[in-house]
Amino acid sequence: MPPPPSLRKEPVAVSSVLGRRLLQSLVTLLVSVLLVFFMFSVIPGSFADAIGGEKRAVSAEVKEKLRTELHLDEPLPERFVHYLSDLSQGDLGKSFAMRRPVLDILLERLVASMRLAVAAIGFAVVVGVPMGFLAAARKGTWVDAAVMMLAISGLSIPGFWFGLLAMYLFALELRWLPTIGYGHGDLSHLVLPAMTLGIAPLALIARTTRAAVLQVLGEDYIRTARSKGASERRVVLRHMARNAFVLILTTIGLQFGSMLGGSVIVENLFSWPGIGALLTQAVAQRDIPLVQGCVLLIIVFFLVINTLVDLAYIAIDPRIRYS
Amino acid sequence: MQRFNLNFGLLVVAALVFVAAFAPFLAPYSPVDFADLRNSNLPPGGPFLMGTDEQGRDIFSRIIYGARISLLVGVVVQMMNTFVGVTLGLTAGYFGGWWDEFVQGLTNLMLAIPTIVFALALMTFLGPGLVSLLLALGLTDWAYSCRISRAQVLSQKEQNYVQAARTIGFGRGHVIFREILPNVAGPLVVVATMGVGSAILAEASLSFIGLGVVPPTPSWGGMLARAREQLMVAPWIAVFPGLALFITVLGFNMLGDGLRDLLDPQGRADR
Amino acid sequence: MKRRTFLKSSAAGLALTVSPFAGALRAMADTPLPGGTLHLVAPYGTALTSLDPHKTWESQDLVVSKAFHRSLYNWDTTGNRPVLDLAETVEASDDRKTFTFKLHDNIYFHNGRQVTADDVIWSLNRIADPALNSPGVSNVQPISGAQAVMDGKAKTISGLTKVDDLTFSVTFDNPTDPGMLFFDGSTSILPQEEVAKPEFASHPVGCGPFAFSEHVEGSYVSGKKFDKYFKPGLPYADEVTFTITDDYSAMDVAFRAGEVDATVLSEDAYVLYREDPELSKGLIEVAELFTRHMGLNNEMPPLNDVRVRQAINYAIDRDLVIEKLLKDKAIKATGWLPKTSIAFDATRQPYPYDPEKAKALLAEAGQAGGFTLDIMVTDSTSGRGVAEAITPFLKDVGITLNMTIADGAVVADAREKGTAMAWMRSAGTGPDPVVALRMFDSRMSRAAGNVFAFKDPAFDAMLDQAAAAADDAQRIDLLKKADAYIQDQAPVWFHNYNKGILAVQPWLMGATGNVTETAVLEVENLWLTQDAPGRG
Repeated sequence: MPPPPSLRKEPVAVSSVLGRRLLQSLVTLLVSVLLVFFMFSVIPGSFADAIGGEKRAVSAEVKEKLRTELHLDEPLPERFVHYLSDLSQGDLGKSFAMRRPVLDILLERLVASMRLAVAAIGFAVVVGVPMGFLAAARKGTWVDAAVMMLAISGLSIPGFWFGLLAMYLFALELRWLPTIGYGHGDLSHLVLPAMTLGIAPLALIARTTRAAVLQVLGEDYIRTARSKGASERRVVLRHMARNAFVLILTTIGLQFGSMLGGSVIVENLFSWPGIGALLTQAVAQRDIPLVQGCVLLIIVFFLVINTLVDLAYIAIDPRIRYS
Repeated sequence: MQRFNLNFGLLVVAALVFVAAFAPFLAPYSPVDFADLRNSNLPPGGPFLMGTDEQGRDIFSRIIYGARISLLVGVVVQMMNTFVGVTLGLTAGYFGGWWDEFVQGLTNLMLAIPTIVFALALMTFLGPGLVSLLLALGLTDWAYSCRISRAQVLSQKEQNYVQAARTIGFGRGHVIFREILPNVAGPLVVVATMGVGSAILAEASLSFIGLGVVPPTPSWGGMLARAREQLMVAPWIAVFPGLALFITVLGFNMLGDGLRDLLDPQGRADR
Repeated sequence: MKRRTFLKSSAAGLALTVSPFAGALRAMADTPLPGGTLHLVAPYGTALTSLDPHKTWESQDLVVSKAFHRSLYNWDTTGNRPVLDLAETVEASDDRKTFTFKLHDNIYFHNGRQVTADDVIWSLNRIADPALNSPGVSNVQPISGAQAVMDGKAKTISGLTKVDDLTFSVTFDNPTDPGMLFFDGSTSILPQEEVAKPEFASHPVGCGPFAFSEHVEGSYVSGKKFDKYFKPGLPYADEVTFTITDDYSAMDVAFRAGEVDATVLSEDAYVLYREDPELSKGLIEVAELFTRHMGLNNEMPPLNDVRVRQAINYAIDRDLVIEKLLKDKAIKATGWLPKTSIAFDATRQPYPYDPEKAKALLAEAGQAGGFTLDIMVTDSTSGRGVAEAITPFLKDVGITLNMTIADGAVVADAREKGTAMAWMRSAGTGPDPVVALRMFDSRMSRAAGNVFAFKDPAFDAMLDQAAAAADDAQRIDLLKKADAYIQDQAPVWFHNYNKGILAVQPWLMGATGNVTETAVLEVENLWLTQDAPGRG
């Protein structure tokens, strides 16, 4: 399940938050590079074994040459040092299979992934936030119960199962939408994968919204505001909205940040040409530079979005700095 | 509503435990050995309540035995995650300093690498199998319990009962695990309960992309993976394990919700 | 003349290749209507490996290559043999070692330049270039002097000689059939000046019926009709789009929704299409040149005993596995060479299902108590699914199947290192039967193809004799004997020959079954009827 909104109420300044974040992020990146490189380099089977698949035979000579060309026969530490020194110069290396720079491939795929992620989070927000508000406004009624039941169901349903059922219902039986693939970039292809990817964040956002609104409604200063004059009440109401907003925003940000990683299964299910589908293919082919590239991109995306959320958080609620 | 959550959750979990424990008595056929290709892809009805799969095995029996795998994976994985997370979180919060920095860094690392990516890497590294699966999932999803227990320690550390225990002269281990832990157990139980559900989902997802429990051992995720191609030919193969999975995860999540309302009214474990 | 006779005689064995279903018949009934956009599928992977045909190993890329590139020969899907394509004529020397080709005089690359003998020689040299590591290298290796280039000892292949701008000759070390080598997409003829540009990898230029227009990574690749294509009137369609996908269920769904004009089908979709009154009209069944088998490590006891290997072949009821699990999308194997191979022996009997005989053979081999067979499979119907299905049969005769599931790369690695005891695989067993049977040649290492470590000098001799045979009829006869010998020695569990299934929409005409790879369609011959969605 996704990580919770982090509500650190520690006295911090913007610059130190940013500095700490960057440092942490760098360490996180380095360690994950090492980890992924090591794990994928010592697994049985190499790219030279994976090529050709079940159907087309590849001659032994080609395989042997490939091993040499790709430095697969060099010792592991040596390969890692090579990789790191290239990486420090912004060079992610060349994909074994596609024989093109990893960075180019990633950038091509990122467009598709971002479209999917933005559509999914958009769907989750547009449906989830009003659902949460509705539930909070009708707390204790059947509306509230229904919304909460839907939300917890959304958190519990296996994404791929939901996607499959949706694909067969909307694409095959009703024929409202195309089934798979990217099409030529038209929106209709985006609907089903975005819904599938967005269902869990939607449920979470609805729950958070409801909780945030209820929490804020229950706080003392709101009650105080109610008893005071109209102008002061407006100030407090604005404050309340802001508070709830921070909580919701944090949830949305965290959900969005982990979306690239979360899209692995959805992209495979819908043949969506994004980073997630690329990752599984690269793993199966033992295309190590490409695996590295995908994982790095997923992590960088997460870290960037989280830092942005932190900054937005401080900008919206200056209390955090000195409370 | 709260009562309903709790009761529904308890009912589902109790049913799951019952089914898993008495699988050999409940299942009409052997989930693995009863395989006759002559019976392949039979629709539900007659001798096969939920139909048969491509290998001619009884889906009902396989779902019953599959409950064992789901329960085992869910519980063991969550126990591992809770143990790792709580140990790291409590000690980090209690001792502070470089250890705290280290644990926080590690937590950030675990949060930054999505569980599915991490598990994908670990499963490819270790090869498919139950033990690999438990390791891949049990060592990757502890960041949340770690954060919660750390935050709880920070707030409890200065409270009277902790100070008192220290003054009396109890050792650190005693203070951390005997004094503080019971006082923060409420939110952790809630987190762990919901974590069982997500571990079960994670197992299904990994099995769906072919990295789960080794066949022919019945697992719901694995059954679904194989059903994907056959959704048009034999939809019942996909429907029943999917439903079992959904209801089980729903049960754990609702139990968690109910427990939270009961144990943690301040909503410290709110997700 | 002799060649023609053997092709005719083998045609009898090809009866199943292209079933006379409506799709094929309709194609002949009408006159082709030009125009429209073809919507096809490039299956088997989530992304293309390379648009440079000299740099790819994947069937998926070959599907796309057909639109943009051409080779000296082409696979004739109705005659099931390679026929001249870019070359207009070929003359063979008496020893069948030297061939003189003359190119058509109206072939142009998409950049407008004419294709000449220099382009052919340059392209074949490029494939042999060790720096390129081209998978097509095994197709040029038999040319005299190619090995020296591959080893870096020479710059150009000495066996390639230019005669004039359109004429050149190719000399081989041994008597060879060049068609078997130069029909493959990996021997496409490319323009040197375009390959030199860095954007060639993302913007390929060839001399095929369609000029490249767009590629969205992992999504689709499209092309526009090339007006100066050397075959008059072709291609029929104005545009072609290939959807890139690895998901059979997705292809099935897209086909039913009318989003694609043709697609390959999985076993399960095949069942449904066969039973559907409408969908069944558009099915083309193709007996592909692949042999599915359970590979056995012939060095590893008790598999080093021929009786144990034969027992495995007797123990399993293949009819049941093929009918129930593979939904009849397979043809029971009667040997190593597949049904559409020119050396297929239609009279040979398969191993019958005879568990008693299997038990007797095991007892004779001292394995009456049974043993454990460790098998490595991928997570697929043809791997894990088949292994699960044969488990009860093997158990009946006392053999316990112990399954390990792994990635294709892991299985391949264990197979080539000789650490795997058994595995499931689909081996390419055509078009050249000699090459297919060399997989059991004891002089071949595991890495070179003899992953079974089958060692039998008697068989090696039979194969050499066949390869050196003076005329085709004799060669075919000897190959049939060699194949029968392999069947008897049972270095593998013979399972089936893959039956590829192509589903074709009623509005798509000109589609035929390609036994080398069902998914590869002859794009230039496809055309759309008036009511096709591709004309909307």
